[in-house]
Amino acid sequence: MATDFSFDEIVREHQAMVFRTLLRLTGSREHLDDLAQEVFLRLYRALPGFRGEALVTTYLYRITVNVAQDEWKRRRRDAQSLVSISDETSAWEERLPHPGRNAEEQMEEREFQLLVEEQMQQLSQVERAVLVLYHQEERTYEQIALALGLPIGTVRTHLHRGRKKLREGITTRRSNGERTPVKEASCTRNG
Amino acid sequence: MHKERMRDNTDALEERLTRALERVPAVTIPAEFAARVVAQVPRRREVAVRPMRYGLMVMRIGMAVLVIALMAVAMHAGQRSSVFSMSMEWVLCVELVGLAIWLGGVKGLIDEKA
Repeated sequence: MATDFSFDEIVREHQAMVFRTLLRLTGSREHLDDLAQEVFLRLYRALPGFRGEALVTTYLYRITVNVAQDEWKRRRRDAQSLVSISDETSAWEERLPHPGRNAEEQMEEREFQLLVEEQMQQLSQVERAVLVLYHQEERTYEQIALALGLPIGTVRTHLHRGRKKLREGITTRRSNGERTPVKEASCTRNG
Repeated sequence: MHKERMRDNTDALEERLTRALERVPAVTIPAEFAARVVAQVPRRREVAVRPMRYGLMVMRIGMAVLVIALMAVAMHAGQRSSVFSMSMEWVLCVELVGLAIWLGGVKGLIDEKA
């Protein structure tokens, strides 16, 4: 069927983006496949009303954010604790490509990354979504505004506020002398 | 001096924060993910629609009306023949033949499409 073929292409083209955005937004690799599948199924249901590649991408971001928010609600309902983005087999923080750096610097960089991820989970859903879309996905204010259905000014505010909160959170953690418990963080997965 | 160091620290933190945020996490996508998604997609039912052929129906009715009119005019002309009734009969005959040819052509096209 022609529709299935083109949909298959859409999935292949955007699956990496959906996976990494979901991973950053939910902060967990748990159920990532299922969530990504849900994103594409929702997209499929909405596809007949959409035209043009740009619109599909924008809508895909919106669906991804919505699915991540639903996942957060589900977790809150299930009273599950937040889990780390890391796992035993593929902790992405461990893949920092800094061949020139020494072990201590790499370790510090990894801890900082974990600290940022941890603080990201303290942000509101919309702040997290704006930060991920802006920094990780390199979307413009206009694209983020369109994807999240927010005015551009609000996007700017969330971005500014989110970064400020992150900065403050990191500074507080550091001034308290706390260090990110790397081992614990990667072992606190549920399920 | 102290202020400068503070600003340097803040700038360094900003830079590291931006770097951390811009770092793209590595994800492992199952090899058959796309195929699995497509398999989950609900199939669209093929709807069999029988097209209504209003034109054909109207043509047939028109032909029937013409035949009745022709017979009525012929019966009327049998009693007292006139130029008017003769021309009416001819006009009706031409219309009937025209409709018959048209109907034949349209039917042929429909059968070809089917």
